[in-house]
Amino acid sequence: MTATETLDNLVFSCTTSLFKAYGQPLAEVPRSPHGPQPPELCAVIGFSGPDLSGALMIAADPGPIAASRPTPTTSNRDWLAELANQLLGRIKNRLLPTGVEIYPTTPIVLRGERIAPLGRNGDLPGVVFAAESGGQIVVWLDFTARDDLRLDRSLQALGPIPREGEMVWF
Amino acid sequence: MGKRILIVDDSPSVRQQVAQALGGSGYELLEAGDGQEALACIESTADLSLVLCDVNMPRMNGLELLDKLHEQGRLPKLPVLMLTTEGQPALMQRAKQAGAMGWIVKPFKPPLLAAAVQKLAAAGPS
Repeated sequence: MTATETLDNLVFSCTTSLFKAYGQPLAEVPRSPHGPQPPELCAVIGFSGPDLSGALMIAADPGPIAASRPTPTTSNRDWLAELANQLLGRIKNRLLPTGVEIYPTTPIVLRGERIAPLGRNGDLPGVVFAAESGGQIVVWLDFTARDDLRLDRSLQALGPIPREGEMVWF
Repeated sequence: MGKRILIVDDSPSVRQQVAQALGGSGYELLEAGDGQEALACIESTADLSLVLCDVNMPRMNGLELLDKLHEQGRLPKLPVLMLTTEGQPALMQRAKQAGAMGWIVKPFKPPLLAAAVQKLAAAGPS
């Protein structure tokens, strides 16, 4: 499996598990150039590292953002930024055993029309999900990787990496 | 008056989520949006029982805040619990060495957080 395929799989599995943790099951839907317009609100979080750098973007309709938000009074805008932060954190933690470290920036949120990713090979990148509660979510990872990047190895000496929701007492 | 707990996170959503998880427990909850704001709050609040702290924040991050508190000799008398998306063992090791009491990876489970807070706040200054 290539590094790109591995990263695409990570984006898929981490997005579905994150939204599941907030009570919002997602299903992947085919991406089509003639499909619905991309959502107008999107969060972007950058990352850098010696092997991999780029940005993660998550665009979502108001419905699934609000439905996943555990608190009633904060804004969709702030919550979408936090979802981007938690999604990149999840991806980062899954990359750690391969020896790849990335360092996230602070997320920002944009509002716009027809915000859509540009494919690496002219295709339509990213994954489109339909939320069970209605509305769509688009996630994509725009990255530059070291030419010989390998994501199929596992370093044993790193030590245990806690999973989301777990606590480590010192 | 209940024990005072400081919640440090740059996301208002997370601060509110933590407050919701601890609601009804009789704590007095204070909030800060980054490490610098938290440091000012800690320096001006004599009877804090616990600090819940994110790692990645603008201006001063959570590990830098821990270092400051360590330099000031406030740790481990003032318990600090890290609450973050990070799971990197090197970062956890750094927090442990500075004097943090524990580390939770977001998204957190409210009952687990409430139990950890109860345990640490009971041991912390009142």
